[in-house]
Amino acid sequence: MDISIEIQNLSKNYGKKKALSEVNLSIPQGMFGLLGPNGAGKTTLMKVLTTLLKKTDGEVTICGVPVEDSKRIRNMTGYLPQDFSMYGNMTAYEALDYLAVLSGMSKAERKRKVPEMLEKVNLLEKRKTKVRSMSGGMKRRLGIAQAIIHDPKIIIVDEPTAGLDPEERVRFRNLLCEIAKERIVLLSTHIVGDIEATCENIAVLDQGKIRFNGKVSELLSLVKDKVYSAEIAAVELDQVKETYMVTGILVTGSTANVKIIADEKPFPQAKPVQPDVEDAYMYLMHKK
Amino acid sequence: MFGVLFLKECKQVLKSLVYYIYVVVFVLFITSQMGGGEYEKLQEPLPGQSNYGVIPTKDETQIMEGTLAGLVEDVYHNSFATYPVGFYKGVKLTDREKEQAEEILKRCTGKSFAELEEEMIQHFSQYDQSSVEGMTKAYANYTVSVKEGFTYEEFGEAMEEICRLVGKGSSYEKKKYENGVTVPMTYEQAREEYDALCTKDRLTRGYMRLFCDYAGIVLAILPIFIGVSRVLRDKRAKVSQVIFSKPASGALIVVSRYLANLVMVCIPVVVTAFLLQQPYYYKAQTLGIQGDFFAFLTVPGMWLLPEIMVVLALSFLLTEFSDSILAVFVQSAWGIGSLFAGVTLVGDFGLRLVARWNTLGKTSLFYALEKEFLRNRGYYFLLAVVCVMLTIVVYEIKRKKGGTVYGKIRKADR
Repeated sequence: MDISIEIQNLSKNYGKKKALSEVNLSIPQGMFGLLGPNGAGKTTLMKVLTTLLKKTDGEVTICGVPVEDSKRIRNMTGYLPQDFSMYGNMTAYEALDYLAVLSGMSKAERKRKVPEMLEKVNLLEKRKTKVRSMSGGMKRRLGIAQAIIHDPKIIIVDEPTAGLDPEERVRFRNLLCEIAKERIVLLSTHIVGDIEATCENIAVLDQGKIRFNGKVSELLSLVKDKVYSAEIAAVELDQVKETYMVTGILVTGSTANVKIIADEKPFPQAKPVQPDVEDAYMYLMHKK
Repeated sequence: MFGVLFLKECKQVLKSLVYYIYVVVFVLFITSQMGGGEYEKLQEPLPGQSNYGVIPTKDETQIMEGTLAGLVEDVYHNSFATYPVGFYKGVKLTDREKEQAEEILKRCTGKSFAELEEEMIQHFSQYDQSSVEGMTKAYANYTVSVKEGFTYEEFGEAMEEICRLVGKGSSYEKKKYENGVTVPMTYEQAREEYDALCTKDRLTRGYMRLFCDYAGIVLAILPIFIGVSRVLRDKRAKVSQVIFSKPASGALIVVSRYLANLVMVCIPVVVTAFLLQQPYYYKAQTLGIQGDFFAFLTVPGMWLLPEIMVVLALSFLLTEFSDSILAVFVQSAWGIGSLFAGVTLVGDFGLRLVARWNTLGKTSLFYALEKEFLRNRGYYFLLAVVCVMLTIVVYEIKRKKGGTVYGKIRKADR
């Protein structure tokens, strides 16, 4: 089976408000990052892909199946919503088993897969812990377990690392990379670091429109030779911020080390530095 | 898949505090109402008894005489009990209105109110008013004769005038007085009633009808809370989106939840009915009657199941549609309205949600009204099925519209 998501001229309106406007995307197998500020339309796009919202216009196919065929789409997708939770009085095992039933799994399959998935997300020891007693990270891991338990070809995760501590975030990213083999994992986030650490292909969505679609290296090439580091007097900081796009500041006593994006060398003492995805993203968002 | 989901939903109900509150309230209400008083009254009528109880009359003269007797008392005390919206409201007439009422009485009886008052005082003085039995007899035997040539139509017009004076919901409304006048039973009538209770109802069925009468009152309200809390639990636990995204159909999800809640609501009803039936089952044996052992299932099954079904189904529908506790207000008003809308506490089924049968016995009357009763219950059974189907439709619409029926999406969801 061809594992891909094809989106052509997708539009979604909420009344007069356009949440998505003529979005075109081709998502191949592997991790795919969807980056954009809050309110960019990322969740709307994810909900259209998971059949939770009807599109207004355009065409969407998942592994060749049109998104209108909701039953088949739901069978081949796993979804981790932004604010995933389960009934507080259920244990981790019960919650996963309940959602596995809703995924159409037989008793034998559930008996095998539920402990397997709990182990995969490192929750097997906590299988008797009630959902209401779980930390945010544990809930997110339970969320990913329910999204993959029926072995879907497409996994859609919406802002999965928001609110997690750094250790949980790294663990979660690694988990996503691990499950992305032979699947598409569509990762929506506004945290650039998540994308940088996990995705090769990305799209940047802003105000319902695709502002960039390509490889991370292509995004980085937008700011090639445009990122500089310079040591300036701390008192000059406000003026520099007004004149240039500053993506990093480190103040040490009366001096400040700034990271600047500029088409040309901003000051004589500025040195070109290697850009990262955050610099490229900032450049892209401020270029408009 | 359905069976597994059904059992999981049952387990969810068992973990809900609302369910335990329901069980406690239901059991306390039923046990406080079914105090066993009827058990004592269950005695074979014997010839020569002074009192065999009362029976409603359809005789127009008796209706007029009984109603006018009540009117004389009410005018004398200047106190009228009315139920305009189901709840009690005492009405006191002004001097002018009281004079008008006295005039109406004079037109009906041909006697001045002073004469009627004197007759009434004289009548009651003949009875021992310090005992319940004496008072019951005094009231049962008190009638006021209509004047000669006074027709039933004229009587009806006179009562309409009384209704205009005292307002809505009094016992002088046509439906009320035509069903509310009782006369003492004869030995033959009492015997016939008793035999019907023993043979047709086999005692336990009759007792279960009384059980259903009381249970029906609380079951018009309590299941609303179970239904509302189940539907809102998804929203409260923020699980709607993840469940919407699963392959399971809306029909499977809604029906398994509905049936699980229905079964769980029915369990305490059946258990209570079974336990309360037992003394009557053994009493039947001592009377030489083979009591109907399964009456605790069959009678509530016919009487209460359609009511529980429709109350639960409507609470599912309204809550799924509104995502709020709207059903609590709408359905409570419906339940209370239905409870007080009945003309009599025995029969008068119509299309009332709460079917009343506040007596042990009156078996012949029940079988005479059985078709009306079955029509009523059948109607609510079908209505429940329609509500469940509509809930499925609403659920599927929400599933495709981002979790709302109205198309409004929270800003944060975009």
